[in-house]
Amino acid sequence: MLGWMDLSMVFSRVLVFTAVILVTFVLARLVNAVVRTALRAVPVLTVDQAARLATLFVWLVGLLVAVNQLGLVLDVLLLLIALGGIFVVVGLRDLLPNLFSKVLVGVYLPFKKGDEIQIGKYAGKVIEINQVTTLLLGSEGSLIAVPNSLFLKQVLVNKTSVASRRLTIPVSIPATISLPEAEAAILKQVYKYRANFDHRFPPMFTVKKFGQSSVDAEIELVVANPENRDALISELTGRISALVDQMSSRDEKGKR
Amino acid sequence: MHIGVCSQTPLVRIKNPNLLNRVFFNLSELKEDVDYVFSPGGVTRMLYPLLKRLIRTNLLESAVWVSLNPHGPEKITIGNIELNYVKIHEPFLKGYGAVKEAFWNLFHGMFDSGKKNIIELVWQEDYADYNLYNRLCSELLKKADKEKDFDVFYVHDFQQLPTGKMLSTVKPKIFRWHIPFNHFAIPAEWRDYLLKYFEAYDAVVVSSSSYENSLRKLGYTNKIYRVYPYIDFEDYVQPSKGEVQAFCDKYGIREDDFVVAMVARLDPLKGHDIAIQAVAKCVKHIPNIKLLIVGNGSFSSSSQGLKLSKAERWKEKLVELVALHGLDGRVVFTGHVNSTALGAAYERCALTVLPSKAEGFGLVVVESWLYGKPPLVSANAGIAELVKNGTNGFVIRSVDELAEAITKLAKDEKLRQEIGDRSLESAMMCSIERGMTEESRVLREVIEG
Repeated sequence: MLGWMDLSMVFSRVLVFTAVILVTFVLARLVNAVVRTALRAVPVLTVDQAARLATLFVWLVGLLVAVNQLGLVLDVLLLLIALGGIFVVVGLRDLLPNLFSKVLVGVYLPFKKGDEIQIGKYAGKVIEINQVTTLLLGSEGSLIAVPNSLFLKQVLVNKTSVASRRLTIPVSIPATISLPEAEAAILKQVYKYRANFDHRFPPMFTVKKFGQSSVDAEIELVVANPENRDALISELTGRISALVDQMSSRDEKGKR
Repeated sequence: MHIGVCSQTPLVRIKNPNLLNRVFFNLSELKEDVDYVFSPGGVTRMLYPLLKRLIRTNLLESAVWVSLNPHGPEKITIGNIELNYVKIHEPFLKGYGAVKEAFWNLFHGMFDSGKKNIIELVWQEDYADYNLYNRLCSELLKKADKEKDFDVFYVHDFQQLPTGKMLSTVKPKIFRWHIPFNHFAIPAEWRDYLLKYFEAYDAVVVSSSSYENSLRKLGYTNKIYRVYPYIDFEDYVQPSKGEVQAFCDKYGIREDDFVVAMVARLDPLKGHDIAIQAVAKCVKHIPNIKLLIVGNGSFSSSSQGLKLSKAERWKEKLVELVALHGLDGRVVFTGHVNSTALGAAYERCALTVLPSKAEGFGLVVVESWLYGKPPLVSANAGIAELVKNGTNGFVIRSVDELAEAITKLAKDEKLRQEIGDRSLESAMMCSIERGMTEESRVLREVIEG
């Protein structure tokens, strides 16, 4: 039977454990917001990955500290986590680089569906970009599956005429705000930069995925001068993120 | 089969102001002309009978029809057809209307190199509002698709072109282009822009062979169908003698008047000015000539629509033109008329004119044939390819040619009669039966791939 003292100790440990979890929760959200604000000018998908990793790290440390408060031995737990990590990395050693490369396609790896590209000795029209491979349609109708990781290792030649001047800005619109109104506001923002773009190619806003909490979209533009591509991506990404944040907070205030 | 349909013009507009704030209606509970009116215009006149017939013949189970109606309920049902209305707030509506109007002018050849062209237009703030309207339509269609699981989407009219791309679905999508589409009116730099949107559709339906050729020249590679627009003959009233007389009494038409009818909404492109000038030239040969102008503004110029005041401005100009040519009392503006009065106008006239400066097709010519009246049709109208000079009407290219054709027919009653006798045969080319056969083929082929 546990004595009064023991019960009190268990209770206080559980209390501290709960407090640590709560602090971790707040800290994780804070770190997430800080990362997103700091990387405002970076494409959305990259920001998502960075924010997710930072949040995961905070939770990992928080959980270890919390478990430690319960008086459990951490060494075994740490060993299990390390082993689990090694198994995951070893098991997915071929897949992980491909998954990582997929995130970079379109923004840092300048090609997209419909482009005519060449990588190494393989050439064809891009017909699909999935999590693992990019599928090319060869000149004789052959299907070529190029692992996404290869695009980080080999020289890519994009033969599409406007590829050097095309830029794609990923946009994430929270489900809480109206997609049509957000799209209109984003287009109006882009129009302010119209002098930098080739007017024959108007901004093309395309919805890529309807998620439960947000809509993933992208805007495709063609710059007049390829040298301005990077600066435009950075500035417009920042402006659009700020605009969406502003619409989102206005919506939240409205609801309150 | 379940179908998702989209057009800017709503099939039904609520007339009774007390009903505007209600969210949902079943149309059978309301009275036509008191509580609501069917919107005029070729799109609604074709599409509604088509859907009704497809449902009646069990080819279609249900339809959801998405359209613009800023001042109406959210939903109206008519049997198995559900009308869903898109509402846009006033500032967006203005921007949308401005872009839509500019597109309309550009495609009708009213392209002024000193003003905006499409490429400039799509970089203006108003274009974002135009985009917003199309996005709202696509969102509403997608929502309906989740519920009904459509077999096909059928999007109508030029202002809805971006809707197909915005639907982001690989389900079959058809686009119907109703207005003129002439390659000579489309500069090369518009090509990429237009193709991006056209290519989102599996097939495009156009109203004449020349539009089909123009679309191919633009570089569109998917299926193109030429389907002549059509009307349901059953919707047209054969008025009694008393009704015709009442119509004549109302508009001051005497028994010995030689009546030339022009049924067209009040829009500069319809060429009312050409008709007035031609009538002025005919007065010395036909002293009893009278021009009957039937129609008023479109949905876009209505108070419930985009509130573009084009119709009023155009009427003012026409009234000035009438005075300038000393035609007071010879030109009658009836405004919008109901189906009985429309029938009476056709019944009473000797011939009809459609001198449009640009015209996607011209269904009023079919109506003219239906009532056995010879039509004088502008060469700029899509339907001109069905008109054979002296056989089922006349194709005209100028004020002089129009005046000449009116005079010729006024003096040759036998020719009028002969054309009238053959006109039903011509009208059959644009009957709903033929239209339904062709539309069913389009739907079947697009769905089956």
